[in-house]
Amino acid sequence: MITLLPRFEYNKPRNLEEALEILEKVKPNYRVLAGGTDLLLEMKFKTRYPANTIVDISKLNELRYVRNRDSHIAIGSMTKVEDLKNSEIIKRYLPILAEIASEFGTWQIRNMATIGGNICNASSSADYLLALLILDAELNILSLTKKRHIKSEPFINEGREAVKPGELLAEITIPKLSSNVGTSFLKYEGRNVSSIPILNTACLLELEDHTIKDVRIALGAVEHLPRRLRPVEEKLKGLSVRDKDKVDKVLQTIPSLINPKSGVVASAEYRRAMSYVFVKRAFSQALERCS
Amino acid sequence: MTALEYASILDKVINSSEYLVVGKKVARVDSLEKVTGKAFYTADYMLDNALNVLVLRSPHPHALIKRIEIGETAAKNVVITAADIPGVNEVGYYIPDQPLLVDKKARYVGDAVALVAAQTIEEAAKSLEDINVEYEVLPALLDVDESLRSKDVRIHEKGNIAGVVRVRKGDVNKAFSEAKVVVDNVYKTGYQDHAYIEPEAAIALPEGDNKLLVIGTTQNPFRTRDVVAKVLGWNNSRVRVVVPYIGGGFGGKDTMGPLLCAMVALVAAKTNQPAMLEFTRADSLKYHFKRAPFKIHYKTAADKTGRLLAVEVDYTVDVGAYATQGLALMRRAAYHATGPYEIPCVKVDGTAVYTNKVPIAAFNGFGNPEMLFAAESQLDIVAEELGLDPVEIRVKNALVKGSRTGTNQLLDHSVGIRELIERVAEAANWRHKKTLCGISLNGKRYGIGIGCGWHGCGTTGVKQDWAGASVIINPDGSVIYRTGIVELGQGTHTGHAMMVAEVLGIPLDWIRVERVDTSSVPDSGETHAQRGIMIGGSAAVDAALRLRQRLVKLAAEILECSENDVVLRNGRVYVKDSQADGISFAALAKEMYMRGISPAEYGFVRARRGVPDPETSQGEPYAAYSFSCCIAEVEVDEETGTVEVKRLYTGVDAGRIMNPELVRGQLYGCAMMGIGFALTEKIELTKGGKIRNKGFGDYLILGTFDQPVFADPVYVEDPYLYSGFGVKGAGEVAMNATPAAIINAVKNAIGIRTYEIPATAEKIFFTLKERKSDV
Amino acid sequence: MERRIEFTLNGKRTTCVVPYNMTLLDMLRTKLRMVSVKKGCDSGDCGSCTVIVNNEPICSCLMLAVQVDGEEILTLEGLNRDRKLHPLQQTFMESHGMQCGICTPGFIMTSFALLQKNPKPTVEEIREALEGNLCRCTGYAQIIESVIKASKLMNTEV
Repeated sequence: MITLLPRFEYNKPRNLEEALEILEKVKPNYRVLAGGTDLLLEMKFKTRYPANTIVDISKLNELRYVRNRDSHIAIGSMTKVEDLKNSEIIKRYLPILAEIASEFGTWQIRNMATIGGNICNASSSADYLLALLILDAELNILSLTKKRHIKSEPFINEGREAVKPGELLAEITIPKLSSNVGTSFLKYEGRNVSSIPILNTACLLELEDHTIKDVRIALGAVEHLPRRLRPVEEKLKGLSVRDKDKVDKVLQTIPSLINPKSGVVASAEYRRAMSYVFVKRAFSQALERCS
Repeated sequence: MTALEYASILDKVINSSEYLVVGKKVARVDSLEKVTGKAFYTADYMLDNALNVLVLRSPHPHALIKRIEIGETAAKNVVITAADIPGVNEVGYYIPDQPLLVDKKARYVGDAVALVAAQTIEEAAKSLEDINVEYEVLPALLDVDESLRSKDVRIHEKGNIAGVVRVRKGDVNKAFSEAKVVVDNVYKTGYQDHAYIEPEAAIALPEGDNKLLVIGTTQNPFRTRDVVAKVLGWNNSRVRVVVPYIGGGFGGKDTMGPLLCAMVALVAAKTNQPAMLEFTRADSLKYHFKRAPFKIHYKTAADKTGRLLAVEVDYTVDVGAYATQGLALMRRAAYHATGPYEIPCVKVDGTAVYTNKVPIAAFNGFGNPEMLFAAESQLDIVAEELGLDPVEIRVKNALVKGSRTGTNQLLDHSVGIRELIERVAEAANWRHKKTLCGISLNGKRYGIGIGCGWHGCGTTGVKQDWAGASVIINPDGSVIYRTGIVELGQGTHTGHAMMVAEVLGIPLDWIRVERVDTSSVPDSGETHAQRGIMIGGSAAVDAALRLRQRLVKLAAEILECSENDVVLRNGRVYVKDSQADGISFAALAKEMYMRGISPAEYGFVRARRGVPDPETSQGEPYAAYSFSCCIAEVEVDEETGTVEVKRLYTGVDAGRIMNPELVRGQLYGCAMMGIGFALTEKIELTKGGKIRNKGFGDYLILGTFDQPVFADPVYVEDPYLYSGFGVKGAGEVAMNATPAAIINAVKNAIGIRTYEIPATAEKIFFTLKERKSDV
Repeated sequence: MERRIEFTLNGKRTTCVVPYNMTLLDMLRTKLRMVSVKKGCDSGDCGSCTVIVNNEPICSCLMLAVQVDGEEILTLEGLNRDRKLHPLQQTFMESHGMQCGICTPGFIMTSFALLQKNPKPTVEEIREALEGNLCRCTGYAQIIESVIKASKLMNTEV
């Protein structure tokens, strides 16, 4: 039997210019089809649907690129997750994005999903949102009439309202990490092959000798949206990494800071307890990579 | 003859050391179709003009149906409710407690209230939304203890107990009073979804005005035919059920098959148009019947040497809204409750309890993975108390030739468990690895554990166990083989074809195995309970042997030799030890036709078994038992509670192994399912009795990265005398041994035992935390 | 509400009129009778709907049919053109890489894509490539053995 999907109008712009024109014309009642891995699920299970029009940008290859721009890396929003996994530029300058790709879904999903789609869909476990949170990313958003840049944190705080009707996320730029910075990403699921995550976490650590100069910790899948654990970061800054007990004591405050949700894959209490465990592990890993 | 001493007959006609096909790792007979995409499953037989059927289901776990109001849109299409059922609205598998469509009340979230059908899926969906059912919500019983206690809420007219079983042998009280060690614990097992990659489906096509062809995902085509005919009010022969390839059954399509087939049949008969129904994965996960929870209070008594003196088991089976196969399942668990050991005193009391939740289905193991999880855990605990090694205590108590089971069945042959345990333990290097338990490896704790299993081959229950087959030799020597046993992936069609090829002396690829068709062979029972190769295959051998007798007689005439000197081998027919070429099998076949000697034969056999006493269950519930042993090596991350199964050793005594590579796959598949059952597969229900899981993203069956390293299986081939080539079933028994092996391994790794499965990481984490705070 | 699309299917130029709201999976099965492509979960988890689009394995249940306008699609039906079995088909048969067979088309297609990119994959690389294909019958061991054997066959054929 055929799978029932809602009816919609369909537009397939041939290039970016046309895409922006169409978005302007059909706004606000449209959805953008990028990779389709989230959108088609919503269509089938009617979670956030309906919309009248689908604008299919899945073949907009002009937005599919990874470019080395001296001080930062520019990633087109339609870059596939599999591209990030295999990109030499990413592996060299922003390895965390490749690590995230390695943990992202399955090969089939990675061939379809886009970084832009993952970010704009902004689910509670959106892996690339965690990356945005700990890197000083900037998002370039276009519409027919204007361009705007917005930093990752304000973007994420707006959740699904961040990209306004008629706008399209075109590019993400991320400054290259310096060599004394270590990053890590961990995803915890109930089995080894991809499934709904219990939690995911990303960590960035910058040391000066043995002192924590900068630390950024993002935690996802645990609450409604991923977020930075700022109170923990503040307490960690200035500590010596040799002071393992002190560091651990700070990390142990994580469970009390969060308000986890219950799901089939994990209860709130388990998420709470595991947040400490996995942030601790992510921190250790980032530390190893600092040298 | 009700029993054929196949071993002796076959030995006389074919020397087993010269088997051409039997015992070889030949490719499956259906493999070419499957690798080229030409193997058709039910949903692949779609018809453009078939009506799309959808099911309107109760959103309440327990509610009276006050009124069903059919709106205008719905009325334009087909709507069928209980009132529209022309025959009998009763489809209970073993007891008459289950309507196909709810008549007076719904008993679980998902209970089918009405069927809609329309030309397009869109119209069918609109119709579904246009039916307004007025429910009077009743209090729901979602817990077995609650259901047993409840005085006011009756899920069924007769109350909340679907049935009971008792096993009584010897004097357990005396044994317990004299025991050195008594171990007493309560074990719980959870729901499990079959998660076959092919969801359930059925298609019904009217043939003229009074006949129906039904194609469906069913493991019991004959029962399906009977259910469809009953619901339509027709006699059986008006319904023909054809079963294409099935994408995984595991028992689920045994229970569900007739239901979907009856639903589409209703629509097709009413409209005289083809009708199809395919469950979505979401529907299948939420509403199809499942392995159901057991709560087992298990007491074991042993003497100081570790000899088991008695077991006393008191358990409940949460059958949900309808008993379906739950009573037989409960009985199987009771008959196997001792584990594959000789225990003189046995007292088992099982109760099948109704609750307002998804009903029970048959599922790989059929009560044994649940019961043996308890039995095998107990054994490890007894061993620990006595300072005995877990392998040692099992070897000591294992059933042997001449033993009597808990139902006092004498096992006079084909009992390979003791040798199996020893060989699997050796393959796993158990003695050495046991000493490593508890050590830390990469921040994880290592453990090794053992579990054993057994499984009676043949349908549990009162009904006798029979099967039919048909063999037709074509004039060119090729053969058409038909069986009533379904090919679910377990390889029965390949196994049967191998048997026929060996008996007739022809190459395997000369045999065409036809699709299962209720109009082509006698009722052959269900494809379940490890009966497919043992009982079904025996029917194939029965037919082939009788044909062979005629062929040999004819060949002797043609070749002018004695019948004893005729050799049928690899498509040729010649005189033993002679230089002459002989003739081709094709020529012999042609000659049969020329001389009017029947080239076709039906086989029909009945298993050798009795009916256990209704009060004490003493008797012979099964013709033969297969045995299994599993040793699992695990690593436990104590910080998270995650258990990884790193290596797994498995073995069976399934009589003669027809195709070692095929059985190898069965063992590994069962092991994976057992690991899932023990660790990751969890069905979660809301307080309203609704299943929360949405799909394979949160119902965690295992994938490539979850696979342990599998050792080559150990086969102890202790042939069963009364089946074709001495085979016993191998499709379920490995599942029975796995969960306990894993939980025992976890205990040996972290020193803490879980008594409830699935032992998810979360569960282990909190158990560890709790126990640590006790210390 | 529908569009006429053109694409290459198993090496042949094909046109099809599809409603916008039809998945690629449904188009392949119902309009083009490529029934080797299976609907195991319809949510991208089981991989039984895997087909190759422009040399990449994807889940056809998560793509709209209209998205493949102008693309190249390969299904299992197209793997053995000219009646000659692809090495993967041969080894899956010989090594018992299937039981019920419902997941087999998906596994073979993903494996095919893997061997095109990586002719000599390690076991870990095979597991990773096949992460998105679920099997309930085999326990995976014989599937992986089939892929390894095929890779050996293909590397000696040259």
